[in-house]
Amino acid sequence: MTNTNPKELVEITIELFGQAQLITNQKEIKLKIPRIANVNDIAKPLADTYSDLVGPVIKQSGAELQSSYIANLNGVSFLSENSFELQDGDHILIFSSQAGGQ
Amino acid sequence: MSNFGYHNKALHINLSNEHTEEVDIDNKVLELIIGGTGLATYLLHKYCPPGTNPLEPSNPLIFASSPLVGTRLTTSSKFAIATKSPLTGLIGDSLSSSYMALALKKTGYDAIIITGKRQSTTLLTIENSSVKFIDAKHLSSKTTSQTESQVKNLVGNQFSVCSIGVAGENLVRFASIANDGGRQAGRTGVGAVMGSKNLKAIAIHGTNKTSIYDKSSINRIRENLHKKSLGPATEKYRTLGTISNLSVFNRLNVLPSYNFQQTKFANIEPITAETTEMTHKSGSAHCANCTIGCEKIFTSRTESGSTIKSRLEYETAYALGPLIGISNPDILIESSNICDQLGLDTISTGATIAWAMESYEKGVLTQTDTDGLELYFGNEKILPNLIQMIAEQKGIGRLLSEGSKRSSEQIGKSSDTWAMHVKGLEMPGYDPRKLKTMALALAVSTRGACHNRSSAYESDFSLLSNTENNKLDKGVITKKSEDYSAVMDSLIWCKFVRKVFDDFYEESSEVYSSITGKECSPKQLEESGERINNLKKLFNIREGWQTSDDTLPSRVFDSPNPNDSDETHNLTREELNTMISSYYHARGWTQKGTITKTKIQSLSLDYVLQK
Repeated sequence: MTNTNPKELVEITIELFGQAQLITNQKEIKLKIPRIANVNDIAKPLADTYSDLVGPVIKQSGAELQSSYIANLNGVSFLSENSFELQDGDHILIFSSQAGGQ
Repeated sequence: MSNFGYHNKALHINLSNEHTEEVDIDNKVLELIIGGTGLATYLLHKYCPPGTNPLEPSNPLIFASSPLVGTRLTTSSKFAIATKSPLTGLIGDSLSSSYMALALKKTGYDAIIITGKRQSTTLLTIENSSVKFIDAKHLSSKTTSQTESQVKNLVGNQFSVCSIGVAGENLVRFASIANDGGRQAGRTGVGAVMGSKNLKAIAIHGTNKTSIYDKSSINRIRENLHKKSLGPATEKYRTLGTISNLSVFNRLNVLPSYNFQQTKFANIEPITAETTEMTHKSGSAHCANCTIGCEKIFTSRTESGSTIKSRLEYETAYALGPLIGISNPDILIESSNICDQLGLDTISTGATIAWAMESYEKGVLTQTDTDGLELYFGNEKILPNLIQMIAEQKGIGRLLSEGSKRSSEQIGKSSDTWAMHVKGLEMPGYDPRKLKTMALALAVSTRGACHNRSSAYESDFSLLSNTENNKLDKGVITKKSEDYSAVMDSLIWCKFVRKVFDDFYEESSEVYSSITGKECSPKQLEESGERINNLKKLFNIREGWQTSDDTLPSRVFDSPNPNDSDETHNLTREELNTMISSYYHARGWTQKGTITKTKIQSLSLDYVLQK
């Protein structure tokens, strides 16, 4: 962790895949969220902006991803419920957690 | 005595002399190996003489049912096929689903074992215990759809039909068996074995039902699973289908493209699920008794203006798309349909063509070899014709019909270094350089490069960060994942229902006990998974498996991931060998991957193999 203010806002890009993309008709969404965040900090503003995501992608509480979705930071690390540190320009990918295929 | 869940017998049909025989299946053996893939593997040991040439009459083609079939539990209408694979020379096992599974169970047998060979093209009909051998020369060269339709016209719509296409007739080593309008037992060349017996189609109808020991319990479980199967746990499969992997895998740099020379496909957009949902998708389909409906149907428009409908799955889209540089969805859908109609495994077809394209671009194959075809990556115009040539074994198709391993061995010139297979089975669409648990699973799988005999990739796609993930014992994870898959494939559940369970072994043991009346703890069920995987491995050892067979294509080690600068996203031989060693240890095998007598006895496999 750096010594920067954890509540400082950083601008990140949310990349949406699958149903999330089709529902919002957006591939990418810019968001400003606290530098020290967790997945819920991403789910809530998404639900506020795109209410149709509530149900299929975000739980009815409006503050948590459905268990069938997963978040990944910059195509590298998968994010858990624990807090993580973000940098300006980071990308968070939201896609189905069901990886299998025929 | 009422046979809850089982019939306790199999039917052995010898095509050569038309002899049929009912064979009792030992009750304890059934308890130990469950059914489905477990049962088919047991029968393969019993009926396949050691050292059999896979395309000789003595190689058995085994269709096995399972205790869950006929209970109307969601996704349970499945059946297993086992034979000695003409592609790998080891165990060839494949699953398919829908009404054929119900028909097979109603014959009154838990399995059908077919050996021998007909003198000419034959339709085999099985109606309960009545078996007929019908001349079917008129079905030669027919597509799988035409064959199913014409057989039903002949014997009646009450029959379910499985058949081979032209590829199976011509013994293409990666030919499939089709049933129920397009479901495929796709991998390991089971269709070539059926073709080697001059068996064009099998029509099955039966009226024998097994009983359920505790109907009220199964009714309750069925209702609960039905509800849960319509929730988040199956969302991907119900909505966009498996091809939604394309855009995600591409973004994560794990989508093999250009024969694994790239892990990202620049022109992915036209073929993603997100795009084709709007441009080409025309519907969904369900297997019998399935609430999920993963099968997505797409419509393509050909140059002549006609339309072609085909199902499209992730593996097909990967293999006939990015792997060979194709980004035209119309060509992709048309090619998928051609493979299904000719009876070809789409993964092996695409991966073998990818080998040929790289060979052409490197000058190892020239236009003299290819009958003038320009086999460069992305040349979509040649694809439909090339697939047809493979099925008909014409021109360059004769070489490619052998699969990438044998093709590279014939051509030489170091082309084996870009033949992307394990044990002869072509690689599915998961790049093992970054997906390291998957790398291990692909290397050690008994049927070769397979994504369906474990779900090891789930660990790589887990919530853990890469650092944490790298610390885990991938040998243990892969072993457990394989055992879990073996139980799924033997009960049989479709893999797409797996996330519906809160506790898979607990819930599945309740299902098994409620159907069969046999006590079965979650631990016993898990042990059955281990037993079945050991049984598969014992078959492979018997047929000549070597420690050196458990590896990956050299490109995986020697060519760094070109789209990823993070060195931890590459794989070294040492890294894989360490994981393999850990896997053998987790299995209780020797460090050479062989199985000791003590291990065999501890799993009661000495009993199974004697029966």
